[in-house]
Amino acid sequence: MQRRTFLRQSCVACFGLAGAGLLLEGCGSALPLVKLTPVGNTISVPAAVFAAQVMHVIVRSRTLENDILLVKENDTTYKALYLRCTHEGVGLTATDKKIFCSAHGSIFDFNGNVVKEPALRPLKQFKTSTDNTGIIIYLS
Amino acid sequence: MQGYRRLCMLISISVLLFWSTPSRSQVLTAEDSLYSGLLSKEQATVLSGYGEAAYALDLQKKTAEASLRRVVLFVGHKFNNRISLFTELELENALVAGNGSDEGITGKGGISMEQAFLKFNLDPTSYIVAGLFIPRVGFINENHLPTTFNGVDRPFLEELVIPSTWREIGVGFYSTIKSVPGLNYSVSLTNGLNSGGFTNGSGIREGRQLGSKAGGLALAATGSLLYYINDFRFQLSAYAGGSTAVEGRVADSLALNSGPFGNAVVLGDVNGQYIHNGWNIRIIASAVSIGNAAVINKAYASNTPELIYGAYGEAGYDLFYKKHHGEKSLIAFGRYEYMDLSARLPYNGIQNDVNRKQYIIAGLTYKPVRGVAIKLDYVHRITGEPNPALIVTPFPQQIPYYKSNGFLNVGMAYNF
Repeated sequence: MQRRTFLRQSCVACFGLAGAGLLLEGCGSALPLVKLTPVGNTISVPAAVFAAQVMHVIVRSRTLENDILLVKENDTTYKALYLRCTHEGVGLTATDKKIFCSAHGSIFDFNGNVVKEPALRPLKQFKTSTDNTGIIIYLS
Repeated sequence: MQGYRRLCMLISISVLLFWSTPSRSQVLTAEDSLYSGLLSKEQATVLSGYGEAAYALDLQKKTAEASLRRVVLFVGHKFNNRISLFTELELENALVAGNGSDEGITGKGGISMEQAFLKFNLDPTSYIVAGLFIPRVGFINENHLPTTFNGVDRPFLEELVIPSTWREIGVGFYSTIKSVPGLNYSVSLTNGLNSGGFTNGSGIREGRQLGSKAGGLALAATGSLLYYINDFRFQLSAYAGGSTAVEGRVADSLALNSGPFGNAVVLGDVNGQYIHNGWNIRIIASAVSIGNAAVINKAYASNTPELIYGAYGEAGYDLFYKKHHGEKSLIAFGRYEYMDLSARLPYNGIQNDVNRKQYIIAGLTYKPVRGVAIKLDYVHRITGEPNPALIVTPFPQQIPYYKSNGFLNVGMAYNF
């Protein structure tokens, strides 16, 4: 009976977590993600990834430990924020409102500034420029 | 005079050497070190830390306690872009010393490892941790840096119902649901609790094994969902694990179920937080079920309850927000906590209304700069009547108990 009670409570907990996850599936759409390979110390992001209304794109590269969030400010100005928490180096979760650290609760804005501790330093930013084909991110 | 000049010259040379010595240039900043993740700096070691001190005045007993509550040293090392080490060494209450020490007094402190784990990155949003780590339960367990919560003391619910800081040996997997921006999850498997340590009035806190020769075959599984949307954060987490920390032969003699999930403890919590324009509002509810409490009581006479639960709500507003946007802050906050640490007892349990507690807390948190906090608060604690049958110390030695008591607390905290 006690084992049964335990199994029942555990199953309720598991189904609760899984059910909540499924419910949340309908709550938003993922930020666009592009996987690119750097050439030298630059990553070229095609302008086409910024479709109409898209203001944030996640750039992933095998040579970087964490993703880069490319933020469109206007047609010629972009910010490239390294999605690595400046507190303990955990990969960050970007949404279309803010950037969150799931490990210790730090929050950053789209300028890379700290909104909430424990992180104390702003996110690392890479320089960017634009050309005829798209946006260039300079990794160093 | 000659001696004074020599002393000045010596100090000047020392200062110059200090500033120019190569070892100073080796001191790493967080931006340049473990966190940078750049290919050119594949290996790095970093130091960091946090700490807090407090002065607590008991208004009824007319006594006070001043203590350097904790100093934690973080040392991390990145072996390569895939593997990193995270360690936190904690000294509580300033002094750990025996009778024979030069300090002349016996220390009341403790030393422990709060975390020591390897982190294996699988991709930019998924990783595995292995070692002594803190599973994701509640707010404070993972996010316990003293500059990140209001109040000199941690919220009482997250010490008595959720026994923060709760770390055990095991393996954890952390990732995100890619189709839902902001949705994170974690699962972990750790060693279980030790029901022999359960103490009435402190929930399962004394049953934590904290990576210190955790005994028995007990295992525990923890799962969480953490969702960020707009200015909200929602979390749901569950823990289920065994609590028999003795070998099978001893467990049999005590009539305890042994095995990975013997004498199971199930803990769940749901919490939410809203942060916007200087407002910070958080609520949490948590419950613990100990199905086999009667058997544990028979084995250990610990008056273990079958059910524990509690909740709190807190609202804080940064009075400096409009001018400083969080760079400097003065937060006025209020919190109400309710918990029942023996909400349901087995047939062999003894009710003690002291375990039904309410806390009303109000205070200020001043942060002249991020990473530094000066705290002031007043805590009003209201409990039920102590059960006279459980008072073993006769009058007049019996320490008076105040059902309604106030505490004035002052503290400082840092994190770098």
